[in-house]
Amino acid sequence: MCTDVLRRLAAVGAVAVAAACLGPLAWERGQRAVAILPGAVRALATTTPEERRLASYGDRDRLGYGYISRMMTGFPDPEAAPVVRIPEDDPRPMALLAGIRSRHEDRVLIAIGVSDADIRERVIARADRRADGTWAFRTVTDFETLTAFRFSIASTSPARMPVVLRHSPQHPRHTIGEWEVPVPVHRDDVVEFRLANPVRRFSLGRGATPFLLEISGIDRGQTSAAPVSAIDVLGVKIDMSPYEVVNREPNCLTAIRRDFLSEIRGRPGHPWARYVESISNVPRE
Amino acid sequence: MFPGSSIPSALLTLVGIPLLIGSALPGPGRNLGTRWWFGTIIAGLTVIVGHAAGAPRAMTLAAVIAVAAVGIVRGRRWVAPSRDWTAAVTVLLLLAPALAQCLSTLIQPVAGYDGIVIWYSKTKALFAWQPMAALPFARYPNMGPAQWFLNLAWAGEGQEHVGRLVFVLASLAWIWALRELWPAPMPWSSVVVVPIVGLVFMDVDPEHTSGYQDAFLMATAAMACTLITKVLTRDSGAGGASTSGSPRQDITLAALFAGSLGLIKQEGLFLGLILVSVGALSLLGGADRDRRRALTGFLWPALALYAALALLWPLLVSLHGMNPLNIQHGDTFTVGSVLQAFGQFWRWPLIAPYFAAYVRDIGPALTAAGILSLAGAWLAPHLRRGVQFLWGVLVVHLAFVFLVFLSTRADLGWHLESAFARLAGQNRFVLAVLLSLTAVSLIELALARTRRLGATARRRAVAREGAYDPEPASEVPPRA
Repeated sequence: MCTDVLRRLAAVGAVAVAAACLGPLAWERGQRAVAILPGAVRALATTTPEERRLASYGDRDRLGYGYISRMMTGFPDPEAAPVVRIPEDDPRPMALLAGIRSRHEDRVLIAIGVSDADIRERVIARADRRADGTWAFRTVTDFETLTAFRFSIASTSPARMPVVLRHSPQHPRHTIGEWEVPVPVHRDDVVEFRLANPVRRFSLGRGATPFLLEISGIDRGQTSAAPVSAIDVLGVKIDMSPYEVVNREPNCLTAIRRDFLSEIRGRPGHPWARYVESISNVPRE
Repeated sequence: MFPGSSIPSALLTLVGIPLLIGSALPGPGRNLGTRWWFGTIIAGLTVIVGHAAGAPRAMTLAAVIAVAAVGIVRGRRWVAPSRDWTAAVTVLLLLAPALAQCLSTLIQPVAGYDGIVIWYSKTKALFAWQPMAALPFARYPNMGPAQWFLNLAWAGEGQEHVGRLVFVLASLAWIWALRELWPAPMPWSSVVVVPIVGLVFMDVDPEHTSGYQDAFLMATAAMACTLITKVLTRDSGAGGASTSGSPRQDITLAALFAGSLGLIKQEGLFLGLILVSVGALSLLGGADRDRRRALTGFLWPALALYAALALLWPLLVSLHGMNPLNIQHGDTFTVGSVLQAFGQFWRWPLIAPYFAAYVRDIGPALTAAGILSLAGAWLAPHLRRGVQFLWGVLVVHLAFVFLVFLSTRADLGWHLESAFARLAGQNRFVLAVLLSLTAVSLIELALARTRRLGATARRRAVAREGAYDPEPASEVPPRA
């Protein structure tokens, strides 16, 4: 009898503690569920799915769903997706439109929320020296083009520095570029090395994975007397130089690559020419 | 297929087709949630195999309808279950959260990066019936997009929000299937416990149904887990085979659900393996030789079914010219990166805060489950193997999560930030099953003891007064 009471008390006690733990949570969630109902019913009754998409993804902001939908109306190639920058490289707006656009059309660029800084060259990262003498840097957000390196050089530097850019410490065999950086005889503290062939689609969709930079034959194993004291990486977030803007709305623009635009303009009546004409609201350059 | 279909007609097909397929399951008392889940997985498998085999879209959809027709024919043999007042009350209590989740899914378009770029894109590509290798993120499994696609096929391409209702139903059906844990007649305490567990675990936040597959994966794993737990606890003496299915059928269904996990997400393959291996060990572990012989009789076929399903996706991937060992998009995870994981324990200090945040997040449920498990294991011995199994799954899955972040080749900080909570959250079903099982058992135990103590007191009073007790408690010896 006594054991029975004890066991019963233990069961009741355990359930009571569990109820005390979960009761408030369940109550709060229940209240939230009930609170959602009137607004959700109203939204369902008074708005269309398209209006709800526009409210969620934005017209000229966020994913620019409204603007991109307008620009894609009458787009001559139903299977092609233009380059979309918001200002990151983002495939979501194209995935949200009806149909499937699996072909990459880089002759057309649609940009949402792009600032002047995004289309100018700037320092996009400063490299950190690693314990093994190599350098690593992250861009974190998407940068279209790598244009230059800026080396802070110590006086002990040789006349030429072989520089290798590798994919990442995880993939050190994947080389992105190799350069011989000439160091002037009367060298300055800072040497800017501009890439003859800028690296395109440089850090699109890469996230925070670091790049690896090796100054071979000099840095490796000589951390105490480093000839390079700092490296800045220069690039452009959205490289607008090949493009001409044909449509501009607040916070948004659509641009066509210049060579393609000349071709289009030379063929009046062509579907592309009709499309460009239909969206153009910017005076020709 | 039916452009312009309204939401009610889409819902009818969303509920109806899986239930028709599920009606093929024998046992008049078989839980409706389990029937729905069985139908859903079979319909999804039909789409996956039909698509991968290059069958035309119309033929594959016709095959789904044919499978439903088989369900109707087989289902006619079974008698409808008797009325159960606990079911009506549970439905009533779950109505508000269920409705809230349905409505918030309908008013909230597909969202999140992966939700749109991976899963919705795959669904659209399936809708267009693109070849398997041409699908976006082709190595990612197709079960979720197949379900979504099936509903778009009935509701129309533009009705993606209606298509996502399948993920709401998946949550609801799983919560309903928790009632599998108890033999009929359903204990009244389940009427309180199941809705509370439903409220805690079936979150009304739209991200659960936004297009991400983690909640769908968790619900499928929950089905396997619930059925294994049912066999473990019934096998231990709390009740035998019943109208709600035999242990053989339960284990076979659990194998089906566990095997399907690898068809939902890549990591599901590992979650399925964890469920099956810990489940098999728990089933065989405490059994004597005769019982073990009887168990292995139906365990082997179930394990074969599990293995066939688990290997199905890697097989389809390799048949379409892709490398099944490249576990995720890019080379974030490969066999090589996993093998290197054990040399990367230096990552622990970076991973630990995410584990701490996860434990804080599930803190109340974890505390409640811990206390109820201890009390349950002490007071109700038939729960012990079930409780051991559930904690085993939780611990091994958390070890798996740790391994994932030891072996990732992606930037660790970014990967932890973007994936840890979703990956670790896939095991929350364990707590739901634990809480339901132990809470109901302990409440029933306390009430039974109350009744027994009451009966003893009454008997003494009767003895004093010389009256007759018409309903003596079973453990009180009958009067001579």
